[in-house]
Amino acid sequence: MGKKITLVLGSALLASTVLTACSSDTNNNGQAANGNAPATGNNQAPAQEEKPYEITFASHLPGETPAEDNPFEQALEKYTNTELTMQWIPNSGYDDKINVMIASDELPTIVKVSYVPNIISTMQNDIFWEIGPYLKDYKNLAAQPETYYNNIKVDGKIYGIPVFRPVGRAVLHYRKDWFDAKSLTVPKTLDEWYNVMKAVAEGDPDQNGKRDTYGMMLDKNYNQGTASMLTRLSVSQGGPNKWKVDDQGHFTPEFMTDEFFNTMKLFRRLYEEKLINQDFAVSDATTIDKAYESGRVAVRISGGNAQSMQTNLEKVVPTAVMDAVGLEGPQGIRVPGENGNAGILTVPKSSVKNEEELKRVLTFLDQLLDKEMVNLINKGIEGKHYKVEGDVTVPLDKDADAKEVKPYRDVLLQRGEAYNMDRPMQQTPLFKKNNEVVTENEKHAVPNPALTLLSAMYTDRGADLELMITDAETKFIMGKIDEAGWQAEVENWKNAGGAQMMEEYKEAYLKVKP
Amino acid sequence: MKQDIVASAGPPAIGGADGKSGKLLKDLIRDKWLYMMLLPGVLFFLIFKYVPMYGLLMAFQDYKPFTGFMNSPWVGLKHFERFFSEPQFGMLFRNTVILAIYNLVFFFPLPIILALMMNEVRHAKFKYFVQTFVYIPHFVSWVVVVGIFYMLFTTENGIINELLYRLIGDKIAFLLEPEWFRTMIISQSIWKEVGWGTVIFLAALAGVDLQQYEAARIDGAGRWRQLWHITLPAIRSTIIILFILRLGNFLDSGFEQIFLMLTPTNREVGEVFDTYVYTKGMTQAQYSYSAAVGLFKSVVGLVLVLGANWLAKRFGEEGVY
Repeated sequence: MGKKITLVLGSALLASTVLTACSSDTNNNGQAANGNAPATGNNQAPAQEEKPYEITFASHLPGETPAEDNPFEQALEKYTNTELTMQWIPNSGYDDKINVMIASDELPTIVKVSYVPNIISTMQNDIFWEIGPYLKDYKNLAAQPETYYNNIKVDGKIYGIPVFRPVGRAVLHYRKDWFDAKSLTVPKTLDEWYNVMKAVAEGDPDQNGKRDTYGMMLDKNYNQGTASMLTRLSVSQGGPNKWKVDDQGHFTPEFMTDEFFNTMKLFRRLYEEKLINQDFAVSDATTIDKAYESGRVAVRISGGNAQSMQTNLEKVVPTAVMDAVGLEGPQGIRVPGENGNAGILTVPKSSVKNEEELKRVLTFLDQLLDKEMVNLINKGIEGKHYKVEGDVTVPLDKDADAKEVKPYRDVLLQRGEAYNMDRPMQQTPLFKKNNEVVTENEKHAVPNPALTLLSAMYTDRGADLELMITDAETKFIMGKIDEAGWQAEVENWKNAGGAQMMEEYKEAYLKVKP
Repeated sequence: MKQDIVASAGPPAIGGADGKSGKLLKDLIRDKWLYMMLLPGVLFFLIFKYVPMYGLLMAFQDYKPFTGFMNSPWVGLKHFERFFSEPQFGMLFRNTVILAIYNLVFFFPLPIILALMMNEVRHAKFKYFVQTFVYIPHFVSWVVVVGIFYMLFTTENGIINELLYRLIGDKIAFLLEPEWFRTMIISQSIWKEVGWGTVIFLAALAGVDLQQYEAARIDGAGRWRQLWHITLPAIRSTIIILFILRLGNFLDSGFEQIFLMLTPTNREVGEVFDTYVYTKGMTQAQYSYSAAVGLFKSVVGLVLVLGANWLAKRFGEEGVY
């Protein structure tokens, strides 16, 4: 016990000491910025009217930590007249760490949060600025499609800027060379999926004489969050995206639908016949990524781009050919509509004290979508990461891009070629094809009707309930429980609060239903 | 201390009170260096152990970070009531207690046995070599230990399972099967901590008077007799003290290790108080509730320590204090 509390307090303490430094800096600076004090410091560039505004920015770390004050940051700071300090937080347990930062009430200027129960209740408790009313004053922020903002509303209010991300990301990536050699076709129905899985697992497509290939490999997050493999496949078969709602407003969770259950049965069969990795329940995503990149797996439903997979795969298997197609079921393309963001950039009231400062921060965020910044964030620095060739830009150094630009591209605002980019990037046909599928997906995206509905039960016990059912799914697929056992787990879920959640969603839905 | 009691028990005398504080002051001045040396320890406990304990108050509040300690409403025993009526309580309690008992039964005696075995080694160099060697795993972090076990025991190309497959033609999902969970946890603990656990016992063994052995040998006692009548009685109080201290951590299952070993299929035997506190407190930000759970755990630990200590004294042993 003592240990736990000390742990909580200790980390809170740690976070607060680290952050106090930052926030007090911000305050000082804020005052300077507010007062519009003429620059008196020796280090001021004469052309600048104001001292650079200090911004600390907490976000998850995609890949390696970029060096501090690297050329990219300098370019960004120069354009936006800010002094940017990134706080990179490892991706694992990111939400936990944000909780600790909130609990210690010492937050950076901008913090990336997820749309999860306790963040929602934090928003309801007025910890972050409600920025909805200000948006119209910022041309770039106001110009983004409303859906992105609608998807992050809490009680109809907007508390942050979404880190834009396409809505229909699910794309089917597959090894075209293997499919051609075995004359397989891209699966559409669950039976076809089974056949492909079997053919790849038993057919030794890499011809090394060992049974070491799989049609598909799952990691332990295979049934979690927006990128849930089970949801994606079941939606393609006509199932709902997380929740199904009928005309009367009755809500049914996906796992109580036939499409979802059939998808689970497919995986149960695959598991039993050893056609998918037997340790999927304990496999890390990175382990599975490596297996894919070393040419052991044929198919993947992915939110990434097939080109990056091709690039990595080529290093191991030079003859490998990846292809990307839409995720089709018997009724054509059907993909789950995702929430359209990779997190929400919020501005805490504890670090940004007044409206003036808030406007300064919003100006910074707005500037990120200016032409110059769109180029910088998407492509890096001209002459170093890319060069201009007529109507297009050509990447120069992909490794440097991955190390120095991608981390920012993933956490700062950008919508790729969809907004304010003057010259498209020259890309491989595969990259383009993948993007076209994503664009096409938008038309076939099945929305999650409960996405922005609030349920007290969900806020309170949502995480427990979710864990209950995802564990049961794993047990069912592994054959630990049979159909009756599964039904019992569903009943448990209902009794533990699931039934009430369904009711609460209905209530909330009928209130906002047009 | 005794002086204080005597003075306060007696009739209040003006001169006596003066004299007492005068003596205390004199003592302080005389032993100032000793008190100075005590200071860092006292400060450490005050700052890092006692001050943070005010956080325990949140177990009786509906603590919200943004409203703070001062303004969070007091709710009495609400969180404790919720915890004891939670359907998971039975499972958590059972899992934690079973693991704790396994630990006491299978793990606790091993360092003693190992220490006794090392004590019998004649060749000094070999003894030191073994000693160093068995310490090393202690310095490997749990993340790495679990990682190693994972690689050894996974069904996808894990060495153990490949061997099993060749021997019996089947693989066992050690990491997924609930019935293997406790075995895995205990064997990991043994692998990692047994060597380290011998340190104190070896120190106690080093203090045994060699003349006793000599005398016993002259009287014709063999190795086993010497072990039974000299060695074991000599380290008995050490064993008892360590046992009492261990009881204080009875319900500590070792968060990192268990957390890393949890999978969707073994959660029903693997979820313990420690992981529950983490999920509730850190992941779901129910600080008050998880503080209440943690407090319950330490109260149980305290009761066990006091109880064991009392028992030990009843049987004429020294106890912890």
